[in-house]
Amino acid sequence: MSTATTTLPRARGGVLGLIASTDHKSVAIRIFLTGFFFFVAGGILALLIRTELYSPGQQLVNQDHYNEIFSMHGSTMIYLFVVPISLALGVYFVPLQVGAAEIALPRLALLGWWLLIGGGVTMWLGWFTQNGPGDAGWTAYDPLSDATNTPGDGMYLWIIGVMLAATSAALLSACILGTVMRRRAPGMTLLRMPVFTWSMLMTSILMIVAAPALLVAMGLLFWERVYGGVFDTSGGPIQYQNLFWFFGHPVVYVMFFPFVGAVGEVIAVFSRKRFFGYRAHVAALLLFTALSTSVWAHHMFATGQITVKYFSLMSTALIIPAGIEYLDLVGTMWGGRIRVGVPMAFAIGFILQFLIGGLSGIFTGSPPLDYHVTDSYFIVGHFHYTLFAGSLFGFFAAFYYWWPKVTGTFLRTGIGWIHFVLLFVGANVTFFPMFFLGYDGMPRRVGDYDPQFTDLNRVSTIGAFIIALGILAWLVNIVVSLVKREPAPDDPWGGHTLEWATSSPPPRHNFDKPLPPIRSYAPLFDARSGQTAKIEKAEA
Amino acid sequence: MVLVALVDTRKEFEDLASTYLPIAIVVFALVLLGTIVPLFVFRARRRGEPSDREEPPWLPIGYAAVLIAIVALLVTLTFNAQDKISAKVTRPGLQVNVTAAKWNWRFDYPAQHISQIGGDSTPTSLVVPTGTDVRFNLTSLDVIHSFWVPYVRFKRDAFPRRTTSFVLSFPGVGYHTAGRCAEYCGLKHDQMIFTVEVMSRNDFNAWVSQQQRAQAARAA
Amino acid sequence: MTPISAVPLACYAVLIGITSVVLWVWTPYTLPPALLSGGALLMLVIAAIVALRGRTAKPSVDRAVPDLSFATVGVALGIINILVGLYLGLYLILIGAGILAFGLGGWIREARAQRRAREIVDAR
Repeated sequence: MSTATTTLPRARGGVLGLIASTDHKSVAIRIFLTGFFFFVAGGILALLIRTELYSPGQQLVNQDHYNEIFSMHGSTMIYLFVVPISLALGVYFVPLQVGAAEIALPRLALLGWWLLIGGGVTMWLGWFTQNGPGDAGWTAYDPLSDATNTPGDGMYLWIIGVMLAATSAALLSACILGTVMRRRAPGMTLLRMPVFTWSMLMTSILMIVAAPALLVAMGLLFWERVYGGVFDTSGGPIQYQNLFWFFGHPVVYVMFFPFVGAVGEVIAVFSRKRFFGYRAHVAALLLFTALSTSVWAHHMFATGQITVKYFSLMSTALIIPAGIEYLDLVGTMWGGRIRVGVPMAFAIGFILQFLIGGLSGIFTGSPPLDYHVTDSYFIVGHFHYTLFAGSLFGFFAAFYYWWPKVTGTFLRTGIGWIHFVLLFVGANVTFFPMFFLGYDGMPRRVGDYDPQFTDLNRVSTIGAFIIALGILAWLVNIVVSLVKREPAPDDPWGGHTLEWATSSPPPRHNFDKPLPPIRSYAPLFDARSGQTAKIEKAEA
Repeated sequence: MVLVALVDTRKEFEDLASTYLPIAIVVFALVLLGTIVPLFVFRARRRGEPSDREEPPWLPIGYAAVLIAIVALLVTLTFNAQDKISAKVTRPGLQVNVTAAKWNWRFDYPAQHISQIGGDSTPTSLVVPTGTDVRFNLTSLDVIHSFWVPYVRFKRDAFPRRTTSFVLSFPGVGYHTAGRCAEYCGLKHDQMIFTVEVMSRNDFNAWVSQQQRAQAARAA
Repeated sequence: MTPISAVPLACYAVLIGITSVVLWVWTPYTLPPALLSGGALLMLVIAAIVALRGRTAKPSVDRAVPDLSFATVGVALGIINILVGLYLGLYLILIGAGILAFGLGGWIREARAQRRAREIVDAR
């Protein structure tokens, strides 16, 4: 066993390494830092939105700026934060979990990071143009996004930024897919891959299938703005929406699967039990992925130009794989020996809060119900429950769980609990009132509203600032933990999967001592509990 | 073809929601119990080793069957409600042509030869009779807008260069919540509202006559 | 890598192949089912490539991938400048193309260095 180390991963070659290192672990950290930067930027935009919405009427910013702010909030959070960090988790941990020395196609991963920077900078350059940044929403529907209705450089830069970000995501997904296909250690069959790796494999498939549709939509939009003649028939605008949402629905699962996989790992390790229902979970993931690709037009029920019953059926059918996954998560806890640490708290927060997002989603999967609540604050509440109260909580579970592995130090527990409580309270206070606001008739993407909606908006705004405090606590935790380091060993939690079988942080080529025998999806658990010997005897 | 007396979107919404919401609450409660109870029952300090039993094979299959049944129930109820609110209405009591444009609404009553369009400080008023099927023919002159009347739990997007039709009826008499544009359409999207006034049939006919006289006088 | 690796990809492709067929039958519109079928086809192709390469590929061994790859940074900056140049003007497209050329050239150099390293290792 190698000794614990207090040194942080040193980028190979110092500053040059920060620019050009092909070590997947370094690439993943750099993607995370880039995404983090845009998270703070997008978060400031969110606070501006909520401050403006504290009272009816325009107080803080004028209508034009408000429209730019919410458009860039959504675009930044999705394209420049959540998607990149979802993939970054995979870029760091999939090679380790499958026992590989290196990711597949490492230079493509590096390219993906640089294209992300290019996309983010290009999109945000819009703020410095005369007409401001792209302000047609993150969805940029035609004709609103065409040259007549949203003139100016900012919209062009937005389109190019999105194309770069989408290409980045597709490349990172290809690396993860390639690693699972080609770099698994001997003995690591597909059905011995950890739950997190399976969810990353599905994420990669979704991104690869979805990205071309977005690139085509953006390319056509660009052409429409320069030359016209693309979407200006009676059936034109709906084609844009079909192309966009064919990407737009899978992308929300790209922002979900990695975190449900990480939460699965955390629950198993903190319950000291092997993950429950592994095979059912893999089957459910496959069904989930296929359905996710097949439901996109449920975003378009109110257009009257799609076959609502088909998409309603496929959307409601998502209950089946989701239910199975939830049974597996909960079933892993039952019969275990649970330690409620900070990662476990965030994991349980994810389970309960993502569920609220999912249930509200099933509600909207019914067209007669959706005709009322779509494009209202109900939907804003729905997707913030899935993305923020759900996926981001899953991200924090992963962050606290894997931080010791990445840095060789521990995060502070006390500050971690403060972070969790503030975020838990803040998220629910901010987003739960939105269901009622939408139900009562408040549309989305508005800076002004009828005075009847004031009270709930005020509650929501207060919640937003509680969230800001929670994020601040997280940042304080990171700084304190890096300044006053508490060293972490190779396997501080009693992990089940291969990343815990190497030093914290891992060496340049991941494993510098032989891997334990791989006979199931939890090789370290097997080794600890004597299962490996049992399995090998059974196989002999 | 589904025969309905009146297309009642509000009723279909409320009926459907009264099934969806309780199911959602029950599911949430079950998962809440499922995650919180183990925190107390299966604490780390509990004696013995964690269970390593393989799950019985009937569990995922039986459970999947339950899930499929729930899906079948929800889809059946949804499809029935959808059929009712999109039922063909051959003779609506009233037709209203709705035109959306940045950032105002215009309502034309083709059979009555009157039009409604709001001014700078007054939103356009949609006046309709209660107890009648009203067919709306909706279009946009520029970008996509959305015609939303929260009171009847319905919205439909207005697209340029095409007309979409739907039928609504308005239960109850009186002034209800404003209608709103629900598809982001640029600068003044949040000000693109209209009002909905539901009148009794007699009052509506009187209002129509009054409008016809007023609009004829303006034309003269 | 073995051909079995392709199974999850193929399973997914078959599943959305099925949902796309159902949609072809159910809907009067063309683009939605075409998108689904296109996705299925794309994944089938990738699955086929994985399966075919799996039969002939040698077992995965350490490859001499460079620790630092400035060529990749060049490729990235080239692509970014070309794309932004599509809006800002030809001058930027040309600058981007130049940087891209340097980047791709660097990649070729890296590939050749990798091959030489491979030969040295094989010879031992």
